[in-house]
Amino acid sequence: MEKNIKGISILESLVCLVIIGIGFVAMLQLSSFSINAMDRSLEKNKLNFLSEMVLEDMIGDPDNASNYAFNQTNCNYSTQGGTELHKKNKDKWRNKLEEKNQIKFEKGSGGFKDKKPKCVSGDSKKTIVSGGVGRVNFFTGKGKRKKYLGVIVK
Amino acid sequence: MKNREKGFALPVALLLLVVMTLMGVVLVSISAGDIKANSEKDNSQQAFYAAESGITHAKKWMKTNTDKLSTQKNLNNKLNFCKTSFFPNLIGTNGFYTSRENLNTVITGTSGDEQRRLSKFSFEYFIAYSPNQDGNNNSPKKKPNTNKTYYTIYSCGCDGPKNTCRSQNNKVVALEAVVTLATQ
Amino acid sequence: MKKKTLGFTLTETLVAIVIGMISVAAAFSAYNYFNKSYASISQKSAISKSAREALTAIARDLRNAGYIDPNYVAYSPESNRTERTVRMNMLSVSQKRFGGKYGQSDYLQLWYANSATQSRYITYYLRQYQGGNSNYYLSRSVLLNRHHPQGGNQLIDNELFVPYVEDFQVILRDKDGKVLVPVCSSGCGSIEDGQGRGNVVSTPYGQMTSGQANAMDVHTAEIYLTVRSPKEVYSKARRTKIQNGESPHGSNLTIPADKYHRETFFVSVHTRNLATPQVKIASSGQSIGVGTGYNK
Repeated sequence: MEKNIKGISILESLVCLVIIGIGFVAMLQLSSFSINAMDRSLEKNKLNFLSEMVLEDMIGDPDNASNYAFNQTNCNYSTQGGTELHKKNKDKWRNKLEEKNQIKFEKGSGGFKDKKPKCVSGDSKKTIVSGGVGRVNFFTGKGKRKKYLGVIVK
Repeated sequence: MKNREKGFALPVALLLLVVMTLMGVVLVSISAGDIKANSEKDNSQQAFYAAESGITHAKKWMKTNTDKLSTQKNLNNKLNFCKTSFFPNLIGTNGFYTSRENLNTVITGTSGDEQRRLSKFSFEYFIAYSPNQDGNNNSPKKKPNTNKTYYTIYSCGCDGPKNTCRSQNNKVVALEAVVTLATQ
Repeated sequence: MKKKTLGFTLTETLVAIVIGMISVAAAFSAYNYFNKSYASISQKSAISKSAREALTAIARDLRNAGYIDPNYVAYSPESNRTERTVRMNMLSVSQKRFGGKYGQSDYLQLWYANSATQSRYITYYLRQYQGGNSNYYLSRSVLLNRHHPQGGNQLIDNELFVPYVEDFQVILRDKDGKVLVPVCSSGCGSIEDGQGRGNVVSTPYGQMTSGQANAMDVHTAEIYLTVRSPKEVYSKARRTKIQNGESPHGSNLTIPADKYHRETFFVSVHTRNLATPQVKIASSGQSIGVGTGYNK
């Protein structure tokens, strides 16, 4: 009978430990999930306004609408130069989609690192212009988060 | 009968489990709130561009139908959601023409997810003489020192399809555009 | 045999103590982790929300800027009722005036007449918090019927629109994508004066200053908004560099090391009521002429 009393208390304590452990792990998982989700959500917020920028540029240059087709499937945006409005606009898109040179953080010994939106393979930023209609197809999160926006330009 | 001197430990552990889970849930709900707000912004953006598409659609109609821009009629029964209540500068619903479309029919070449999304948005517009300062638009007004008549395109974009959109239930974006014909 | 009904064995006590300490340590570290996560997530959520609302409103105002209701000039109760005077004040940007915490932010004013009897004059600039707080917020003001003989109606007076703004930049471009300066008709500073803002030019509506006339050539407006978290978020202080726009029209800041989180939001809009897009005139000209739009 003495053994029973000892046994119950240790068992009970171990069970309590496990329960607390489950709670701890649950909170950790939910936390790290929401930290990540919040960062992605901030980027989505900015991307919504960038897609507005794209449609506005098309609407402002309707006679050259077909020149506003754009396709970026890797995460490397290099500007292409040019003096026409549509070339300048597309370079602006490339810079803004990459958040180039906007915010830099100090990292290590005095060097600054660009703050960039997350871009992985499977992501793409496309615009499609045909028949006087402009469309935005922005895919992020390995292509799973899809942003569509369309307007009649001309 | 088993003696449980330490019986309080188990309920306390369960309480801690609940508390820690709640803490995690609070964090998830804050980030979920932001995600939801982004999604609403998404919808109001497309509704706005739907209204803009209505204006462009109307302009195209006007270019090829200048002969129909002389007699107005009451369009009240033909309007689903683009009601004059959105346009405080106008009294009544006299106009030349009205049209409504779902975005997936005017934005062609789409498929799958994109087409489904566009089918959930629509525009409705009507074209009329621009009103006077008292809101009446029974007769045409001309741009000062010219022979050009002022027309107004009243266009609404909706986050629902054209047949089911109602201003009470849907988000409607209302735009006015004043145009003149270059040929006048 | 004696039964032990009172007291605990040594083993029991030791095990209980160890388990108790582990639980307390776990609870403490969990609370600590939660606290940090909560600070980070709630601050970012606040930034996200205020930036979203601000850019939506600013974009809508810029799209409306310069809209003149066809009945406004003839019937408005305001005293500025000529084509020329209404077009003199449609859009105005003054650089580095009310420059905010780092002295580089811009002052934006825009105007439109949405009905025969009402016009709206909207102002955005950075203002300092009261009471010794060295931070700035983006303020928004709306004045109805600015030129009414009895004074206009201040609908919104320096509303705290976005808290803790580090930088606010407005860059205007013409129909060729080139930066357009000076576009300034009121609240102008030395930068605009140096750009020849006061030079008198002829326009189809009469004579105006260069700063006023240029407003009618604005085709695109770009907005940068850099917001800071109200409270500290990071555990390690680090410096931040912010570059909005291109020199010399934008900003270039190096912020001393601190633990705040910052984000820069960008939007650009086509100012539909100012420079309209070039319309190709076909020889048999069936194109639509003047078009302006307004949305509430």
